[in-house]
Amino acid sequence: MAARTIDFTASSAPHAATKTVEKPAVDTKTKTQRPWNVIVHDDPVSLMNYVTRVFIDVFGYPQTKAHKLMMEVHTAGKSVVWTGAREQAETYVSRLQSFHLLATLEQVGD
Amino acid sequence: MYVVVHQDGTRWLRQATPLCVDTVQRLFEWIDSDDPKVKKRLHPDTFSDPAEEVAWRRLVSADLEHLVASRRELVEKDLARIKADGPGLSRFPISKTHQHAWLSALNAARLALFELHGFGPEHMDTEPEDIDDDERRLALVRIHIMGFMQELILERGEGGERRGRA
Repeated sequence: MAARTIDFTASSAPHAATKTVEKPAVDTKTKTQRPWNVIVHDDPVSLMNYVTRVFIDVFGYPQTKAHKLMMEVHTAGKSVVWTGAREQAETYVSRLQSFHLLATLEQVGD
Repeated sequence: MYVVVHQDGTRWLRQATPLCVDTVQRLFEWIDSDDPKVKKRLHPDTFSDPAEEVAWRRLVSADLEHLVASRRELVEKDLARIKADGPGLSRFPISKTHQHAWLSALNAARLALFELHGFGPEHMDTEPEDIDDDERRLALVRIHIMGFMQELILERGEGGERRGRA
């Protein structure tokens, strides 16, 4: 995978000249540490059984979980089907796209 | 058309009509379309950030193209084994190890035809007979044929046969 730039602007250090003590942000992780969501969006063409099968084959999910996620895609329009490290998320999304599912990546908290 | 699953897991699609055979032989014609809507659907954006998207395409496009090309070879190997199967009908195999390639190619071709003919979600529940335009009606029939083929592949039986209309 390509080298990624690190965003150092997310520091939560309080300003030294201020008298009030600010609490650090609840999420103290830098942007690069936050996990990524693999999101699958609904499309009117891909068959439900097909989408379920792709979830089973790509993620190794059991049938029940794969079916539940497929139904979420179908009824809600999209579903977060996996969350974790960027590199693995990229692998998953490229595999989903190789089956022509509408899959995107989104960093948690964005 | 119906499917017979052999002991080695190969699915033989039997008594396929000329329209079915013509449809599978033209899969890559539609997938390779230069139509911008088809290209956009088969190669959708992954990131909302344009800079990320450019980097992503640079990173994965070669690998994805390689994967799609290798899957195409597998489908074409099976298509090269089309044989006569009764008067005016044909049979062809879908090898067990080629199932992913077939599923992916069929889905891509369905999506491509959907875009090429300007269909919307409502058309997927429309009977082809209700579409006035001949070309669009035929495209919708082809989409349904390919969907039926996907269902036949997705069934996990190790032997036996299933019959259906296509």
